[in-house]
Amino acid sequence: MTHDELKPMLADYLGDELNAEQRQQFEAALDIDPEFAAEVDGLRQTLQTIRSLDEPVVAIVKQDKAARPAIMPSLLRYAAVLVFAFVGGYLVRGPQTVQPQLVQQNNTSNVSDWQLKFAKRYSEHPSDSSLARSLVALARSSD
Amino acid sequence: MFLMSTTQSKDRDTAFELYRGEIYTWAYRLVGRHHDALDVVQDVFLRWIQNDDRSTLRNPRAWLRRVTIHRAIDFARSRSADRKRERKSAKSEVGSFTDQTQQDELRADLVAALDKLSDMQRSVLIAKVFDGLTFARIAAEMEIAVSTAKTHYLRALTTMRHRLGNRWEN
Repeated sequence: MTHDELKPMLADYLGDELNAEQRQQFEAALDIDPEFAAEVDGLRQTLQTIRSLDEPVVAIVKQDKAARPAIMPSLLRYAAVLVFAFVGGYLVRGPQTVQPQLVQQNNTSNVSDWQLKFAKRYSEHPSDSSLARSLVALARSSD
Repeated sequence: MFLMSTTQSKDRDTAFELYRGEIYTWAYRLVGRHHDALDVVQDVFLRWIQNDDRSTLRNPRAWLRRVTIHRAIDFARSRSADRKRERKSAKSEVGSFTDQTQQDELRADLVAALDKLSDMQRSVLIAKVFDGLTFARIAAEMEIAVSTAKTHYLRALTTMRHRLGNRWEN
């Protein structure tokens, strides 16, 4: 391949548009034309330099993503949701649901009839607030 | 009438949206900073909507590439003084900045060299090197002959080599 034959192929060579066979022929011909080979080499280096600008785009985008702090690790996020749900649920419904259950329990199992009567009597006579008077009143009523 | 203009406007915005990622990438390669690239994208969008002929463009991508490169070079040139100052202060700090500094210097040299190319040479070079298009595709986009696209490519590379070669030797 002569120099005149090589020259028109140069753009295709530098533009990666030669097939493998053509490329091989082109490169083989460069070996016997050192002056042209040096020119081609210089242009190839220039191309590589221009192409090197391509890389930081991806790198920087990755860096941006990496640099951006993760708001919370996923496990911690789930825990936070549970805590919010628990606290929120307690604030909204807690006082209304827990107390009636306790009262109901007191009525059925832990409090005897005597104690209930005592408490009722005691609250009806706040002025006679001594325990003895209440007990007397309770005894009378039970007779 | 209103409906027609709304539809046309939507089509134009869609065309811009279609290439927005590429516009950012073209700009970023030349300006080298995320926020600067976004500024260029915004500037290109303004030019896009101000271009009354945009609905009749046969190849909006080629137009957008050309305008983006032009704007990015202008932007990079206007920022070069700031960058020099940044590079100076970065050099005086620890080595972690070295790679970025070298990359900035290289980018500045490349942008300066690109600035000296003709509009067509620049567009063909960017389309080939950055976008990886074939000469046939570039020729079709720019409505030129394939052989003309190849000629622009070689001339652009030769000019870049001479300009960059001198700087790097120094």
